[in-house]
Amino acid sequence: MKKCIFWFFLIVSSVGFSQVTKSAIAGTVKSTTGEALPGAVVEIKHVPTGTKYFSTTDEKGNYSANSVRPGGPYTIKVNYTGYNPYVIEEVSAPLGNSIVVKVEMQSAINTIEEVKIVTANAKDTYNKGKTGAGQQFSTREINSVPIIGSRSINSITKYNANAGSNGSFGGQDSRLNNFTIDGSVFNNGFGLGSDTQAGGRTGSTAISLDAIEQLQVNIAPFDVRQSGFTGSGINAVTRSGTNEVEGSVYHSFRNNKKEFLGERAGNIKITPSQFEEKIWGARIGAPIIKDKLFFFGNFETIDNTSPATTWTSSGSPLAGAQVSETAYSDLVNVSNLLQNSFGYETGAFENFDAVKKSKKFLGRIDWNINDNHKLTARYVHHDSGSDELISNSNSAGFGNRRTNVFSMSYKNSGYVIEDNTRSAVLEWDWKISEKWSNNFIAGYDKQLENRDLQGGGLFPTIDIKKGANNYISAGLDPFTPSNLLDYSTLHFTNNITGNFGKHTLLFGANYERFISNNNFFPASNGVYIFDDLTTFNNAVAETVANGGAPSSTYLPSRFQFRYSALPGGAEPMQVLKSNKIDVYAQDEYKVSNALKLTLGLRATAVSFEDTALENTAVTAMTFANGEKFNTGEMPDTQYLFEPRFGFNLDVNKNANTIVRGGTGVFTGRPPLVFLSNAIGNNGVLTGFIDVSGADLAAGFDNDGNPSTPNIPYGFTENPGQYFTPNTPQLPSTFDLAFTDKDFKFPQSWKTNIAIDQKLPFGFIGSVEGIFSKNINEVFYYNANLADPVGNISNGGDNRPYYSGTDAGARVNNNVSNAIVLSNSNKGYFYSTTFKLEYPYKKGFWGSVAYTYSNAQDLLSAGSIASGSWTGGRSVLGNNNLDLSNSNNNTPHRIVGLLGYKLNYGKNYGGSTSFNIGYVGEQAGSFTYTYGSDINGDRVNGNDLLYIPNNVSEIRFVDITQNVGGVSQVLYTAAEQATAFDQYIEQDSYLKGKRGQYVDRNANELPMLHRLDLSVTQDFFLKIKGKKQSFQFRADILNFTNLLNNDWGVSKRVTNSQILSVREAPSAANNYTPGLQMAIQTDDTGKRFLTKDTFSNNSSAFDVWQAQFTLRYTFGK
Amino acid sequence: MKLINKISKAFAVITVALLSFSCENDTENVIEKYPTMVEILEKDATNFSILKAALIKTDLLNTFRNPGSYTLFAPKNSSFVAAGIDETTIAAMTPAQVATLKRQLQYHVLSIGTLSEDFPTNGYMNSFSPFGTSTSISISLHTNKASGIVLNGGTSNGGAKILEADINASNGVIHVVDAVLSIPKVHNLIIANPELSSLVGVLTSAPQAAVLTDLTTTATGATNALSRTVFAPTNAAFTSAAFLTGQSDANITKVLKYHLENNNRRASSTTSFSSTALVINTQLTGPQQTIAIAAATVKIADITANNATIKTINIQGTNGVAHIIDKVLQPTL
Repeated sequence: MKKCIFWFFLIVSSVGFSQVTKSAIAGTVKSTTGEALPGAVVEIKHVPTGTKYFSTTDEKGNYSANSVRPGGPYTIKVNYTGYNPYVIEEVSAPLGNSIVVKVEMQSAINTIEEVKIVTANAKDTYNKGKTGAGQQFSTREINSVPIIGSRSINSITKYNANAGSNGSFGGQDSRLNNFTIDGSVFNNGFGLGSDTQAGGRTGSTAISLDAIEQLQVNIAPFDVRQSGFTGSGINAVTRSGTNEVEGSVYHSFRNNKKEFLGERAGNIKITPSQFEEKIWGARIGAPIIKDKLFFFGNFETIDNTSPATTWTSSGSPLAGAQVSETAYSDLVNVSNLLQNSFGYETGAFENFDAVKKSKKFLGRIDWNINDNHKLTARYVHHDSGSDELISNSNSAGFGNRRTNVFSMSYKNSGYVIEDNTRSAVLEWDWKISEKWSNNFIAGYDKQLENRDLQGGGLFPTIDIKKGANNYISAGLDPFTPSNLLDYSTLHFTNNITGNFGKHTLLFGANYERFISNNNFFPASNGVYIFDDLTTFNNAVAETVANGGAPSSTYLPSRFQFRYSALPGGAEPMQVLKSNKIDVYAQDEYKVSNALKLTLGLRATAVSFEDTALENTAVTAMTFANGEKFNTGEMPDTQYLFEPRFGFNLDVNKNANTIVRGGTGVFTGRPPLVFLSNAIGNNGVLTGFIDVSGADLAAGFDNDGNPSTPNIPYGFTENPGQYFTPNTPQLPSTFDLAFTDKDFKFPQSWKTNIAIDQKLPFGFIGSVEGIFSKNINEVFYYNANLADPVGNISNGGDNRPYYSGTDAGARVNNNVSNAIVLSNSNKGYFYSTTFKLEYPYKKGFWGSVAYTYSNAQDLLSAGSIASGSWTGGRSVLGNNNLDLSNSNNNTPHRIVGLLGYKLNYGKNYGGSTSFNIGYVGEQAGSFTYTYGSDINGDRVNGNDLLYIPNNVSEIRFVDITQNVGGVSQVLYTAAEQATAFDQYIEQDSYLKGKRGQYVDRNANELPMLHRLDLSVTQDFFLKIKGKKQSFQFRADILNFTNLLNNDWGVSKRVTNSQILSVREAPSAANNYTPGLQMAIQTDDTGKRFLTKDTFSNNSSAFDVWQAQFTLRYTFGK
Repeated sequence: MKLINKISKAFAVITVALLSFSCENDTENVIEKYPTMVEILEKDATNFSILKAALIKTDLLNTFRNPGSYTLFAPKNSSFVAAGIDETTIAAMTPAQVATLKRQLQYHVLSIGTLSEDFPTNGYMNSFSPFGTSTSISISLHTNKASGIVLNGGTSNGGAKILEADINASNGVIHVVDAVLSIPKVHNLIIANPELSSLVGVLTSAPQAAVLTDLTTTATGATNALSRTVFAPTNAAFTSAAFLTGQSDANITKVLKYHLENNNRRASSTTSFSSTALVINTQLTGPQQTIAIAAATVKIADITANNATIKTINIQGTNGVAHIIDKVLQPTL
């Protein structure tokens, strides 16, 4: 018997290989005596698909396959004349990793024993190193993490130690992550809402987790191919078909019943609102031609139904918990009137459902054309919608339209938010020669987020009042007509890689074209406010009698109508077009067997097309500090550079201890709504008619001839037909947004160092530090904010005082805001992570990590320019922001994943698994500010609180309450002063800030520990070698709450605006504001002056929630 | 066998997990959000349908549906019927009658949710019923906890007794009362207070009928000339008022009139009746006799060297206000 003895090492992480869609396998072939074996043929076979990659060793014995399918398992075969053939099985190549397989071959001449095939599992070995911070999630982890509902990728990536709350990473806005699937851009690129990925606006995801093969989170990868983020690069690849037919059908369900939801958060009983969610899904992977052509498909639908409103009308035949004063008969009458007069269908007003729907399809073809050419094509189609009720906003119409004690509205007054995805990507791998290989990706991703109607069609908004309140609202939501948003990214990436022994060279280029079309056209359907129902009824009768022309006797109390000011009445679409071209090069240098370096440079040019319109009235204005702006100018073309350096040191050359790290610049893609703001808020897109009082009867001069009679602003079904002026009247007051000509995309300079150490009993420990300094961060200032005029006198608080009037606080009085998008470079982030990992072995796997981090910035931007500016927190006014904790700051965070799977049986049997996900974090920082406006800058809620040494320094005013016209003192000034003093004393932060201002985000919610559990039970039967299995799965989020009511219950800030300004500072009160203390409501609903910083939450998120899944799988 | 062992092991683990599902039903105090006042009233339509109808008619119902903190004294249907009010009469009310009903209902409301234990043992609180046309002055309500909780001296004085106290609502507290409260005149508020029984005894004695009649006159408007200010001496003050001994009925009338002013004079605070010095023309005329209150004090000077101290201020009735003092004021007789 001959025995072939050999040694091999699997070391994942040659420097820098961290691709977006692929993995790499490389190594050396040497003899046992250390002699390089050139010309050895290495066959790397992806077992499930039979895909083969070949490499021949060079003169130094190096071989490499630069672009292989992620995952595996792989079988590696080496043949060399005079040596025994060499085979390794079960090699796994996680996404974005490059595993190193060093082969030492035994000469056949001396061997006397049997050839033995060694089976190695990549997970058994050390595989977590790379240059920078990052983490892979395998299929096993993706499938076992406890998860419910729409199964978003966030629910997996949150187990990365550097994640913050709400999907942020590295202390950055979650929209500054770059999320790719199969190399195509899947971001929430426009950036409404705070979700990282497309689909977030309807609470769904475009791709089912069932279709995801691998997932990778990179915080600081130093490979130049990874770009487009300052937070994290999240890359996923979808599953592909294999030689084996494999498929799965599943159904998940949950609702608000007590089998699915806990009832007690602490000792508070919760009554969850009603809902029912059902998920159906299926996937299939199959060969079309064995070893050659494969297909994979996935389909999933999620339906979530809940009552749209729980309010019922007075006199309704239905019993409701909440009864509105609006009479059933009035609602029925208005509905009939609109139906009979205009054929307008209002829809129901009570007892109807709101549906959230998501339907998605994914198809993928993998074609191994030959050993040198591989092609993958993938298409995703996702439609989702979420029914919403009419808005309660009063920025058009009267507001407070629904779900309250005074007013109700109809189903068709609401709208549907849509979030639809179309994404196609093509990837072509070409092995040009033994040295050179090429990877090409072309993708087109389109997001359609238009609003749709629930029914009834376009109709004016009608708010009918009764007394001081809105009573009935009918017609369409005023913010829905022409509320359009779509955006698309077309992109091409090409990477060419050459292997030259010690050096691996990479040259690449990327082109990205982004187009967004955004249209917000509120009140373009016409908005009417009627003071009473009778007038409305008469107005309808009159317009019907007039043959549809506006009523002239019975008029509304207010009429609002927005029209296009563009030539020909074109839709006031805000168009943004940007082109981004990147070129990059990288050298991966193997200095020795122990040390590898990467050195790369990426250069980017970003330009914008001229889609903005000039407002000449604004061009003529001069803003603060003499600045001039032109709304028609887009930012200049910008050139950005990303130098990167990374290293990986295998200290003892046995992969026991790895020191890795690097430093480099990362360029992020900002949410492009930031730039679209300036295109939309320029004051020339639309004109607006807003009339009330006598002007209504005076009417509209439709022909520009003062001597002909005007048309009174009466009710009509088609306001646009009668009230659109021939010559648009541009508004005289503007809310403006500008982008600095020199505005640059966010960039941060990240430095990372880490040590990975193999520990006894199969554990791996890591210590990792990241420091990231912002080079460019998003910053806003208001160019129309006038200088302060004095100081207030609020005890020790004498902050600058702006005039307190619009005219005084503005440089140009007809400009409400002139918010300029600009850059600063003050922010930074650092983190230290300690991680212990147990790679999969005998059914067990798990990891636990603790991270301490701090993220600092000036402001954390929202979506809308003015909101981002007013979102700042300051003492001196929001143009003078101090560096302070970011909104994305999550100082202490512990994450853990633990899984155990027990298999039993051979031809029939089953398996049982338990998986636990744990996150402990201080989720949410908060800032004490004054309610209302203490410094007269006309911004509410942005002024940092001053904590007096003695409460007698500040002036309180009585809190009064009015019942039926009589006011009574509820809490006297003295009672409030005492309560405020007690509040300061019980708050550990405020206690230490006496005589000082508080800092932004200096306070953190208490640590919240959440433990989720998933349990699966499988039964399987093998028929003709094919496995048929049936699985029952229970996912229980917040599992500890099931064990003890007091666990897993979150806290909230009772009121961070503990004081509010009741009497603004003025000359009359010597600029000493009159303050009032906030009122707290306890768990029973009782109210009193606030005494606790934190209150217990008691929502469905504070109790356990369960989802059950049934799944049938064949194959595998 | 090995397979069976493994299966039974797995089931054991699942059983433990499932058992833990059922160990949460402990019977510690469960806090539930209280229903709103309106929900409480709606739940007991047999007793509170008229009250609800009255609140709807007077546009007050939403106040008790919304968040807040109120005390509501809730008369039952039987009490409303006894007061001549039911759903039919409410439906038929004229606007003027609705306005009157609203004032009366507002009198059943206090400005902050107050549990019965926090009611004064013998004292006054402010209702939401306005004094005349004022938007800031409201009519007082007396509570006496000597035997049960009696409001305004019980039904004989237009008041009521609490039948069921402390029904917690999310927006306040409901106390069920055995009668519809009448809005008191100032003498009702004096009669309700057992500490003023000596004064009441004198006022209700036959020779002083004219003084009592003057106090029971209806007044309207916030500063109506028919309003009276009463400086009401306590029982202890009468006991120690030696100068009263042996006085004729006519002199007693003079003494009483010396405690009355034709005005609705309210104190600005418990420590300072007025920021300026006051000389008050009392009802005792021919010649005019005055009392004086020094600036920023609650001391009343009469003809003696000893000042009276105002103990309780601003007991507001529909036709005037009373202040309780610790000494019988002595006029020139």
